[in-house]
Amino acid sequence: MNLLDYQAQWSAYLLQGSSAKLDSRFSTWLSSQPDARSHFYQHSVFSTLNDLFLALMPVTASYIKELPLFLETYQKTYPPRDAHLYNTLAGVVIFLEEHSIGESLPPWLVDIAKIEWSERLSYNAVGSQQSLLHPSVILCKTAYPVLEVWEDLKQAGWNNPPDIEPQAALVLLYARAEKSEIQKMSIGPLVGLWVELLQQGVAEAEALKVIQDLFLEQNLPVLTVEAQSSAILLKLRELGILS
Amino acid sequence: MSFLTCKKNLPYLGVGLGCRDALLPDILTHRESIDWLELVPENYMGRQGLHLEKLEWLLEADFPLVSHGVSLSIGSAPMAGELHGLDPVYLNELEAFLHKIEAPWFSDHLSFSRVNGQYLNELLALPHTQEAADIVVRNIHVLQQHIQQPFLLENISYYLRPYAQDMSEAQWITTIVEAADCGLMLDINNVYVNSKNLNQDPIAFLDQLPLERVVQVHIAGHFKQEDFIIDTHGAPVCEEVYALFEALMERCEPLAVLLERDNDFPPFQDLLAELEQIRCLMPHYQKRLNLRP
Repeated sequence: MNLLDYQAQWSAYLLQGSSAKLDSRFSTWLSSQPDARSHFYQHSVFSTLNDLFLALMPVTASYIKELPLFLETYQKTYPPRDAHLYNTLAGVVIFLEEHSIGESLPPWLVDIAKIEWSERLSYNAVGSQQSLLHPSVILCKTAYPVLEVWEDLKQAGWNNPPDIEPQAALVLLYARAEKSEIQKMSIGPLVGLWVELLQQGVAEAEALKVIQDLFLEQNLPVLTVEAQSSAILLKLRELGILS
Repeated sequence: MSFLTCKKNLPYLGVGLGCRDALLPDILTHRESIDWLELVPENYMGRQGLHLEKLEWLLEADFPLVSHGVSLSIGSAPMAGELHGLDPVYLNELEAFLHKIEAPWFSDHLSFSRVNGQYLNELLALPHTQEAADIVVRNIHVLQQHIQQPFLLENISYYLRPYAQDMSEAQWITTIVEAADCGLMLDINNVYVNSKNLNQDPIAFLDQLPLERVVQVHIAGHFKQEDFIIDTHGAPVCEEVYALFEALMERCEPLAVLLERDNDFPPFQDLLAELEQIRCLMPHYQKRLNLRP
C-alpha cells in the first residue's frame, strides 16, 4: 500500500461515521487495543464538528434531537473542502432545506440556521467595495418570523418546539466592532429595499427614485416614501452602518 | 543559506502563550507578563471583519507573533498527476498572514490532514517510511520556494503505531529535517505522551534527534485515559513533562518556549504562574532576554 492509498483509507474511515471500520489490513499495523484507539480518531473528528456546530449554531442544534446522526449524515454530504474549520458548516442551511433528515424537524428551523450562519458571515464580512453600507451588513429573508420569538426559541429545545405561523420576515445583521459582536434586528420591507439597493452600490438619490417608482407602480402613497426614507437613512447612520 | 546559519540570526523570544479567543482580554491586560504569542493562522487566514480586528489589537500591543498552523498537511501525498501534496490556496493565504504578522519563523505538524483535496480536521500520523519522508521533504521544498521564512516541523502525538516502519520515529524525523534543511519545533508533551502510549524511552528519543535544529518548544498538559494518554492541552503541565523539559534544556537552548492551553481554562493567574515556572527551568533565560535589542 503506498502513501496515497494509506491516506485515502484514513479519509474514508474518518468521514464515514460510526458504522465504518478501518480496513482489515490496518489491524495488523495497530498496537494493543486497536479498536479503542482507532475509534478515538473518528470520535475526535466528529466531536470537533459537534463542538463547532454547538458553538456557531447553538439554537439550530437545540432543535435536532439526533445530533450525532445529523452531523454524520451532514459530513458525508458536505465533507470539509478547505482549511478553515468553520467553513465546514457552510452547507448546513442547504442541507436542512434539501434533505429528508429535516422531516422530523420544525419547518422554521431553516430560518434559524439562516440567521445563525448569517451571523458568522457578518462576523467575517468582506462586503462590497462600492457599497456605502458597512461590510458586515447582511439582509436575511426568512419564511417565518423567528427573530420575533428568538429568546423563547433559545429556551424551548427539540422536545418542546413552538408553533409559529409562516409569515415572510426580514432580519438585518451587522457588526458592532467595539463590542466584537453581531447585532440582529427585524426590519420592514422598505428598510429591506433600501439595504438591498445600497448593497448593490446604488447611490442614495438613485435608490430613492427606484423606490418612488415602485410605490407608483403599486399605487402606494408616494408622498410618504420620501419622509420614511429620510428616517431610514438617519437610523442606518445612527447604527454606524451607513457612511 | 543553510537553516543552521539562518538560525543564528533568529530572535530570542523567551516564554510565550498560545493565543486563544477566550484568553484574549487577559492577554491584552497582562502584556508585560507574556514575552510573545503564538497564533493559529487558520483563525485569521482568508477572514475579514472582526477576526482581523482582534489581530490588530495584538499588533498594536506590540507582541512578537509566531504562526503555528494546523492545516498545512505537509505529509499529504500528491494526487495523480500532481507534483506535490500542498494546497496552493492555503499557501497563498498563509503567506499573506505571515507577512502581516512579521513572523520570524512559522511551523506546522509532521502529519497529514488533507487527502485528495479533502480536509479531515485531524493531525494524522504518517508511516515512518522512506516514501513518506521523501514526500514530506518534497512538500517542504515547495513550501519554502513559496514562503521563504524559516519553517519548523513539529513532532506529533499519535495513538496508533503507523504501519510499515522503515526506521524509528526519531530517525525518520532526523532524515526529514536534514534532507529538507528545516528547523524543529519540539513538542515535549508529545514526546511524553508517545513514550507512554507506545512504550518508548523519551530520553533515548530526544538523544536521537538533531537538537541543534530546535528553534521552538511546546509544553502542555494532557488527559489520562484508562489505557492511554490524550494530548488535550486542557490541563496544567505535569511534573513528568517538566522533568523531560529540564532534560531537554540540558541538551539544547531553544529560542522560544510556548505554553499551549486550548480548553478548560484556569484563572489567568495560573497560566502566568506556569509561564514563570517554565522560565525558572531555562538556565539562560534572563541573560538571553537582557541581550535582546
